[in-house]
Amino acid sequence: MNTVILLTDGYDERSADELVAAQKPFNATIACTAIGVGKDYNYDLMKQLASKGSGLLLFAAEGKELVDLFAKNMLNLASPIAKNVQISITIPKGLQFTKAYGVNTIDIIGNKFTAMLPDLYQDMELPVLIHFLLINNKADQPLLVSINYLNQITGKSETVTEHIQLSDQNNGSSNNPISMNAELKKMYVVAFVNDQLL
Amino acid sequence: VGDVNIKPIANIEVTLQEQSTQQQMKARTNSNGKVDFIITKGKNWAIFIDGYKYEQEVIERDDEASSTLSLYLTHNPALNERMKKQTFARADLKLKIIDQSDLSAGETKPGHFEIEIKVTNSAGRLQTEKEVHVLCLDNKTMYVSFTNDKGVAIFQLPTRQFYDIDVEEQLNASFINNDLPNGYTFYKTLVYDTYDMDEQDLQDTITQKIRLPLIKKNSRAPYDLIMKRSDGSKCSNEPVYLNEVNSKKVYMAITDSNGKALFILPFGKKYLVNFNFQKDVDVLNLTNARGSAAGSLTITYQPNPALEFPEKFIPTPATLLLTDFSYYHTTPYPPRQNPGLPDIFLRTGSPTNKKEIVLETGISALHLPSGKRLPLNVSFVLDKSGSMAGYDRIESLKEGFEKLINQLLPDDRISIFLFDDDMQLLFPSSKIGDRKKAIIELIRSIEPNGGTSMLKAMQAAYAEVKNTICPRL
Repeated sequence: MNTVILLTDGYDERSADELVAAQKPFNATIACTAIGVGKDYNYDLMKQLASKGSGLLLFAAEGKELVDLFAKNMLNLASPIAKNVQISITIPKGLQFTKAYGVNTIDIIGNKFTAMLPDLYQDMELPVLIHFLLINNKADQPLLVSINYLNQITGKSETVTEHIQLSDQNNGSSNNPISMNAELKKMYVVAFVNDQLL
Repeated sequence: VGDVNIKPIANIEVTLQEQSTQQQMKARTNSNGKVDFIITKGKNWAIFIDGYKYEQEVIERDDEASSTLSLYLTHNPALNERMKKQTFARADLKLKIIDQSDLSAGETKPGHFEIEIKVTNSAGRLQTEKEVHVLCLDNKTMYVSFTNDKGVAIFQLPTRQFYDIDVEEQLNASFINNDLPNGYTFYKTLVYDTYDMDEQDLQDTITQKIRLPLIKKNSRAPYDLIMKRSDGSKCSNEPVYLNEVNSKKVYMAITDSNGKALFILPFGKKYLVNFNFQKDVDVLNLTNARGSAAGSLTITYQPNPALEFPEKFIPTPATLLLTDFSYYHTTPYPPRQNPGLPDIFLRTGSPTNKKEIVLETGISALHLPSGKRLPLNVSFVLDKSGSMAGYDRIESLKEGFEKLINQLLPDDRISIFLFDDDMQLLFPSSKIGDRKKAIIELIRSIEPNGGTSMLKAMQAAYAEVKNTICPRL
């Protein structure tokens, strides 16, 4: 993997535009990972410099966190194991797609939702959030999710599929309408607020 | 090159080594102890005398102008080795304290020697009631006593140990080697005097009233900070703050009519320079300073308009963005069902009412057995500006970097660029091979200072990766 890794607090003499313009000619062939150092690093600049799709923005305050980032994650980051990652979802009857968070380009044809994801790195966990409206409170078919990607080691295209039964979950939460995993709830709120700001 | 008695040393080997390319120049001193070098390339050259690195000085070559530099270097390898053992940390050492202030001269205990430490000021006057500490780092023990009316503090110490001596705030004022025999009494005279000033500490903000003309003492380092405006004019009546790194202490002074602020700083610390409207401007490094150390730094004040006129910088929505939601994913997804393949974890929840559903698709990537990954072609661009000196940032960065280098494979290709106001190629693009040790040495040599300008280093890093690009990766 051809990568440039930037480590800085991001408070530069030059404007973000100048720095972003300087890396532009290389973006097609060279990835950029931006690591924000310090508690109040310049998120705005670092976010723009981390390349879309293949690059990553990481945050490492200081001290042990920074040491661990290098020791455990950096090698993984320099080498993606899956590229051209695409998520496909068959939307069951009774659900209506509204918004997706954490994906790049979205396509909807009939009841088929597809979107591109960033490259996958070793040991990385990537959450994607998709919001649906429930029509008539009814969705009894399972929701099918599959991931198609280009395996960087074998050079082959591969697919993984998983499903979830919505009706079971609906029953389980019917007595407690706000039942939602706390971490999922937090992620959704943050994603929602950011989306409103843009 | 001279010895401790300022006697020239003839025919001794002097080596200059460029810090990033590792290129070397060697020559021997003549009968006057002198050696000449002409430096036509490279940037930072470290000096070695007879194989010993001369820590106090690095020669910096200017690309634009030619110049002549004369250096007088004292070669004392034994002293260098002994000083390297000293530390300025005191609070974290967890020392056992042994009070010897009631001790009077007399019989020594078996296995001990006696030492009488006389403290005078630079005019030779005896100093009474000064607190003297003798530290044994190996045994984590600190012996405490006070100078009596003859200016003498008496200690009885176990033999075969190395000791460092502090007189009040002058840390590592001297040392004792481990070769003193037991049963004898030894004498040592130390010069200690404090600056003629009043120091006020108000909730960790320290202001100093220094009486001029300044007379140099050995207990602390005087440091001049000269502030200029970007048009070159003097910057008077501006506050300068020096934040002691890893402490809450802040030294504060106001620049005089020449734009100068004078500080009298304790040794063994780093200080981050801050102005009213410019933060973490640069760093003053007195970590290894002792005795006659002094310094001066000229800084151009570039007030940050966002700090100076906050009312003109109303945040735009983009600057109010929270960190990406994925940052809040902290609980790992359940173990993989398909080992060796990317896996999907699904869960749903309803954020407000039963009329909406959020589907979380957690994708976890497979873990590769080590050695199976493709080789890397990576260029690192590291910020070594003064602002990186605070909060252990550069130390953590170095430590982490070392661990990373140790995990690399011989076929991995890396390069390392540093930047402050300017950029420096620390390690040109090459395969790791068997050079791990050399790269780690280079990383250890990084010292933060200067401003922040990433552009040149970033461009050079991209060019370096592009030159060696591997299209398959």
